[in-house]
Amino acid sequence: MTTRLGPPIIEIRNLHKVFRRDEFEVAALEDVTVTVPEGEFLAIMGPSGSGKSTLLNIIAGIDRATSGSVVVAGTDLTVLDERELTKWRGEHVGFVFQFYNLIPVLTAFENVELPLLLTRLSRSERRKHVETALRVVGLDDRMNHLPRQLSGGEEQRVGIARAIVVDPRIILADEPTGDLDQRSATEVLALLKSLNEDFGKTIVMVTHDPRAAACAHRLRVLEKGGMLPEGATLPGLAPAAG
Amino acid sequence: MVIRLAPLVVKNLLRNRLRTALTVASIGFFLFLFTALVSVLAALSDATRLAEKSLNLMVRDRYAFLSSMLPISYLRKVESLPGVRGATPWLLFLGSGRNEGELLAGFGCRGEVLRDTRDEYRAIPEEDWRAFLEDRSGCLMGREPMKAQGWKLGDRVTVRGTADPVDLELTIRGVIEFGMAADNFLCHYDYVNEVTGRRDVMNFIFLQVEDVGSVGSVPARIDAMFDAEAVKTKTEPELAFMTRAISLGANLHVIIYGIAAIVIACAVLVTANSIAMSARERTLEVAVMKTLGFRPPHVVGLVLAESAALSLAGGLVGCVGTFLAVKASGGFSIRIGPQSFFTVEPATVARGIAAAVLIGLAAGAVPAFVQARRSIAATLRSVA
Repeated sequence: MTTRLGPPIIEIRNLHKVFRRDEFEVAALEDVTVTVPEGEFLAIMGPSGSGKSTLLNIIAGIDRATSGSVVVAGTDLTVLDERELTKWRGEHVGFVFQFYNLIPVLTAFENVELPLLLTRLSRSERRKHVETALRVVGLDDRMNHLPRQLSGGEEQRVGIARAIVVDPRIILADEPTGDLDQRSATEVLALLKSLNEDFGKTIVMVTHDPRAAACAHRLRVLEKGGMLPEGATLPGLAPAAG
Repeated sequence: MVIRLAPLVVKNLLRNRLRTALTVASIGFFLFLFTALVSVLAALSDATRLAEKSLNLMVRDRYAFLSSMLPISYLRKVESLPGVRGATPWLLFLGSGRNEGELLAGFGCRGEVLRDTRDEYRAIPEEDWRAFLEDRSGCLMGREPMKAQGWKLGDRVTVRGTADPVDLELTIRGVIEFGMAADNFLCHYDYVNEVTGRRDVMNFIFLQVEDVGSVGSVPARIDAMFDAEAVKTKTEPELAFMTRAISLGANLHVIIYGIAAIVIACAVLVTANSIAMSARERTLEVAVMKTLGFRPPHVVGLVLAESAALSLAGGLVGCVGTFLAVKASGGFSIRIGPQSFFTVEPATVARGIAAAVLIGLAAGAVPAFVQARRSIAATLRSVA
């Protein structure tokens, strides 16, 4: 690994998340503590329902902790209101979804441009940013294609371009290879690795895929809402030799 | 921001083209009805406004309208009042002509009084007037029955009575080309009275006063004159009388406003249903957009813009379509009192289009706020 790790950019301490289902309370995360230094590529694995996506959502500021401390990019997310959280998220976090979640009526260019519409950038500046992002993911020749005209791997690369177009410090990826064939998954993982190593992006990736986890610097495992000790894993979740 | 997101609004509207087209067509139909109803109201208001300037009055039975029947002796008393320029009996005769299925309505009157009271009578050539006044069984036939029956000027025609079991044998001496009377015919009161058995009655008295000042005073004097009689009278401006004839005593304005409100409510429901379906289908996309930094006001703006654009398109189809259709046809063929033909004014179209935008905003409000308030995490979890 050539990436130099910086000071902590994500600091989560004693995080609890409880969902209310009618009169029942379900604990999704219990006393989770994790720190991610800037520039790190962290993989989070765990069985279904272990709280991986919930943790990622809380780091992204799209879900709220029930208790505990969540400091990301120097901001305590637990004290921000919805408006502040949305603004913060738009500036600091890029989110990559398992099912790409591109807007089907917009071209690749327009999908990537979407977050920039909220900025003060001019049309030509936006174009420059979008073209750069699409070039980084290797799709600058497909910018006028609609999502249905792209393969799954290409769609996910457009999703990644959309995540990086605002140049966020942190990229959060929720099972980014979960819906891809092996070849496309390899391309997407290579892209994420490049973003981490060449552009210094901090990446937190939730995955079921041991090969994907092998791309990361570090692996943490969640089980039943609790974070296992550093280095601990579960049968079947050990990262593939990479 | 709105302009930046405009392409997305348009593309969202075009996702389900059939639904959009059907919704636009529905709103267009509702706005067509709305524009037509507002035009009717405008015509009625015009009639009321014009009534204040008109010198023409009508006298009827105070407690009856359609069944109003006055003794002919009232006519002489009305004629003799100071300020009255002239008065004529107005005796309805209902019948059929060559085509039995088509009802013909005619009025027995004194033509010489009517001649200068309305534009449609003034438009009849002098020689035709003279021929009508000199021929006891002559008539002035409206353009519409002339066309419907295939009659022409100078024809001797028979109008078979439907209310009275007698026939009128009439010679067409002139044609009423426009106005409400273009649907009917006018003949001599004395002839109708004789044919129907000399009952010496009339349905109404039509009179013209000498000046605007008399419009206010003459009705009260006429009604006071007959207060002690068995049949009491109600005298009112001709246009108000005609408007009442259309409304048949009901408050037509209230009815039309009520129907217009129902039409608007239907349009709101149709649009709301379409927008709600469209928004529900895109719940995940909205969650993704919020993840990218779109705030609730952006989401509300997007949904409202989509709803307003949809409704505006329907409004343009309905209102402008009505305007152009009416213009192309030369005017509504609906007759409202003496306002024989009335048009859809540009102001009414503008009102309809404004209503369309308001319909869109009202219809989009609930789906917009539901989408804006929905939790991102809950939405993402629901599709995971």
